[in-house]
Parts: sequence; C-alpha cells; structure tokens
Amino acid sequence: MKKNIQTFAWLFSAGSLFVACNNDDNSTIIEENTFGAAELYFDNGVNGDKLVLGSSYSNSNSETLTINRFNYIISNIVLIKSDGTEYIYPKAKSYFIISEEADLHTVQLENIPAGDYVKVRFGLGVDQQKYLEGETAQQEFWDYAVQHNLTWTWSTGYRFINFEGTFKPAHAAKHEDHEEPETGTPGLFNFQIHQGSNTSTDNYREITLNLPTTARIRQTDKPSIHIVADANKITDGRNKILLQDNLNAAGTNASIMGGENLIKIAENTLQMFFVDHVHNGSGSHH
Amino acid sequence: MKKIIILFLLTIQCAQAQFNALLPNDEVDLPNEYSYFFDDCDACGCSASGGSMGFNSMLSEQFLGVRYMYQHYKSKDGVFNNSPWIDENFSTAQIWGRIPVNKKIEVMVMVPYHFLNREKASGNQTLDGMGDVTVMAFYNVLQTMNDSASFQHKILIGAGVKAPTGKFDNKNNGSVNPSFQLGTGSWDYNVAAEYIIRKDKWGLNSTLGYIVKTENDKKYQFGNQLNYGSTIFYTAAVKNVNIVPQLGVAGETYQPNKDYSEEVPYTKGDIFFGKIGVEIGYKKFSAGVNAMLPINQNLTGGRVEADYRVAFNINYIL
Repeated sequence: MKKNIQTFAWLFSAGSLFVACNNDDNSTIIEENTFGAAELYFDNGVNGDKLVLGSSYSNSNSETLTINRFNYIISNIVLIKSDGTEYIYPKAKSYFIISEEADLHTVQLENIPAGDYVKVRFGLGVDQQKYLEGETAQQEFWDYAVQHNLTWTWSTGYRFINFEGTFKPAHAAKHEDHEEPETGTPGLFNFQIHQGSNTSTDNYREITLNLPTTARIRQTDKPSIHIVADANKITDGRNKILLQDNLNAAGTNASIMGGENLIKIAENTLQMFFVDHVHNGSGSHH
Repeated sequence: MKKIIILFLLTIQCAQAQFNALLPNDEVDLPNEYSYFFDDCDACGCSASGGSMGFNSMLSEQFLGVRYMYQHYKSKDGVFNNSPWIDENFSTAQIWGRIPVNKKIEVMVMVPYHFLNREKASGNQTLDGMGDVTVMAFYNVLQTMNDSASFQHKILIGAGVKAPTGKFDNKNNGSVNPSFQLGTGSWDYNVAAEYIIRKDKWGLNSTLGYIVKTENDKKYQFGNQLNYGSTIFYTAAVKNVNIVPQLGVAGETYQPNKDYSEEVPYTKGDIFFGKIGVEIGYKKFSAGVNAMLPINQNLTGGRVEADYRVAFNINYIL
C-alpha cells in the first residue's frame, strides 16, 4: 500500500514539474515604446438577428422594416486602459465608414502603444471641430463619404447614419385622399433616416464600450474587437419613433432628416453598440 | 470469432468511409466574417478521448483494444440569433487499455488520433493528428470475494495525467473555436473513481472523474471538467459468447475557459446524456458498440449543440 501511495506521489510530482515549466510567454510583458495594431469589427444586426439587406424585421413599434441601406460614420477612436489612461488615435486618421452594402465592416488601427486595453470609445458621425476645419481640409474623407451616401451638401454636412428601406405600418393606414406609392408593393412605404447635425442641434455622440476581455496590443498581437451594431435601436430604442407618424403629406414616404427626431435618434444610438467579444493573438479573424 | 472481427472491422470502415465522404480535401480556411471564437467547449475536440464516453468495459474490466468514436455537433457560425448552424464532426481513433500491474494496481492508457472537421459556409476546415495521451493508475481499494456475498462490490480510485501530445495551435485561437484543436496544449491532471456492483447477472458501473486543466504556453486554459456516468448492464451467455447489453446515463460539466487568466465568455456548460450499448465477448476478444444521445444540454450559452455520439471498440481481454 505504501508503495502505491509513493507511486501516486511520484506521478503527481513528475507532472507538476511540467506545469512549473510552461508559464513563459512574453505576451504578458509589455515592452516600453513598442507599438501594435488593432481592429474594430462592426457586425450589423437587428434586434439580435443578423442584418441582411432586403430582409424584413418587425420591431416593438409593430412596424415591419425591410432594410436596403445601413451606412454610418465611426470616428475619434480612443482606447482606454484599466488604470483609466487613454490613447487617443490621431484625429486626422480617425474617420471611418461602415457600410453593409459596400461590405465595409472593419476599422483598422495602427501604431498604438503596446498595452492592455479594457474600453473603447468612438464617435458616431462627425464632430463639429472636424466639420469646421472646412471643406479643403477634409476633402478626402468628404469624397469618401459622398461615395457611400453619407453626405448632404457641404453646407448641410455629413450624414452620420444613412438607414433606408421600406416599411409596413402597424395598422393599415387609411389614406383615402392619396394614391398608394406608384412603385412597389401596395401597403409598403419607403423610408429614409438620415442622422446628422444641423444648425440647431449637434447630434454627434460619443459611445464608450467595455470590453468583455482585455484587448492585448503588442508588436506581434493584433486584437480584433467584435462589436455588434443593432440597427433596430435607431427607431426602437429608449425613444420610440414610428415611421408611420413621419409619412409625408402625400402619404407615400417617410423621411426623417431633421428636427426633434434626430435628437431622439442620437439618444437611441448610445445604446446601439456593444462588444460581443475580443479576439487576441496574431492573424486576422473575427 | 473471426466473423465478429470481420464484421466489426467492416463497420469501422463503413463509418470511416462515410466520414471521409464529408471531407473535401480543402485546406483550413481561417478568415471568415462569421467565424466565432467562443462557440465551443472542451467537450468537442481535444478532450474527446475522455469525457463521459467512459474508460471502461462492462464485459472485461482489464483489456487492451482500439476504439473509434464519432461525435456530431452543431455550432453557430456567428453571433446572431439567426446565424447559420454549421455541422461539426469529431472522429477519434483510439488505442485504449486497462493493464494490470499487480493484483491491486492497473494502468489505464488512452492514445487518441483525431479527425476534426467543420462545414462552414466559406468551406471546410479539417484538422487531423495525434491527440492528448492520458495515462492513469487505478488502485483497487475494495473488492468483495465472489462467494462471500450476494452483492459483489469493487471500488477503484485513480489518478493520472493528460499530456500535451496533441497540438494546440494558437493560430486557430481566433476564427476557429478553442476546442477545434487536437489537444489542450497543457498538462492536465485526472482523478477518477469507479464503483462496480454486481448481483448475479446484473451489474451497475458508476464512474466519477475530474480533470484539472492548466494554462498552456499560449496562455489559454481550458476549464476544469467533471465527468460522471452510471451504466446498468446484464451479462447473458449464449454458448461461448457473452452478450452484455447496457443502458445508462452520463454527464459532463465544464468550468469557463480562461485566456490570459481572464474568463472567456460563453465557455462554461454542461450536458447530460442517455447511453445505450452492447458488448459481445468470445474467449479473449470482445467487441462493443454504444451510442449517446443528449437529454439535456447547455453548452456555451446555447451556441453549441451536441447531436449524438457513437463509439465502436474491439478489445483483447487481459
């Protein structure tokens, strides 16, 4: 019996030798003055489902939306460590477009000080400071935004979000005075939601998200932060916006491009994003 | 006996052929928009050699043999409710044995070779290779004499290690789930107990096992795992052939995985199976087949579902 116990003891101690030897990976060490890259991946969804252009989604406003376009501007990225110190990504390079139709989902960040980051903050849209730099200063990004339907005219500025499609109202609305839309299926109306700032209100918002696990940026380790954007929140968030209430006088089309609704949408978008998970390690993945 | 062996080999070949048919020879396709990291547990890939598939034979308690196991899972290829479910196939060919050292001590060995495959929308991913070898020593703490009581009891306790002989590839540690690996990459420690009670032709075999997993050199640590199972069996002799039908339950519980000491979301889980099988013994040989169907499961927050497991084995009785 004694011998057997010795055998067990030997087995365990032999094993523990190996354990003692395997804890050496230099990724825990943060080398001073080294830099790495990171990626924000924006995965567009609608209330827990994947956003597929052309597909229909019902919301809690009892409206059914078929989404044909979902583009938005992400800007002013800040990465935050657990001690609260912030790394502000260079402003000149910190404007990005996410577009479902153009298959733009990633924000690539480079030359970030190596470190362990626990939060990310970004703007939805374009801040006044940038806009007031004037047209020539931001020609390149402006042209890029034009290409993705994220601008009005220069004097009216950027569209922060361009969210378009068709919808079926909660209750078959009676528009005795009006014709159904000339094109498309009867009972379906077009909608356009163009979020942005205007002369009366600044609707640019910054959003801070906690990461469920640490993003470790190293020279060789490029984390990918997988963010879910819930398009449903735009009209069906803390503030409820019925598209039906925004039908034009002809009763054919609902456009939300200004006024009180943009302030409500700005508030809703604060809850539009969350980080699902973080990939660490080398290589590109989601 | 030859007939039985031939029949058995044919069955294995048949299963293997079916499996191969599922496998186009595509290279591992890593980047994928919907690839997902946390959608699996240790149950599936690297520890397929153990789990509640059991490490025992009801017919012959000491043996050396080969076992083929097939596990089918479905996992979500994406983070959304309506993300597509993809099939995951885990096949394992294993040399296993429980070899007596002396009257009181026996050594259990499992040497697995895995064939892992998943059918993503973007193409197939396959991973083949040697898995983690488990070696355990069991000590017989109690054994009643055959004629001393109407109930015979046998209790074994054991301990051992699972060695990182299967490759843990950090490259997969992103787009591919952490269990889509040949091994945990770590030295893991097993403790187990087995209790067998027999009366006449009936028997009940119960096992309890716990695996303590350590952090591997990529700073990833699979969650500790509890396995348990209980199988009732009946030994019928038809001429020189022993037929042992069996029915049981088995379960597994997983602690969360850790990456750099941080808990990885959606990696803990549990599963409870019903189990049915039969073993046939003739002289020094035995052959067995069993199937496991989940009764209740909650793996990785519902992002992975186990469908079924089947296993075939052929043993030489020691």
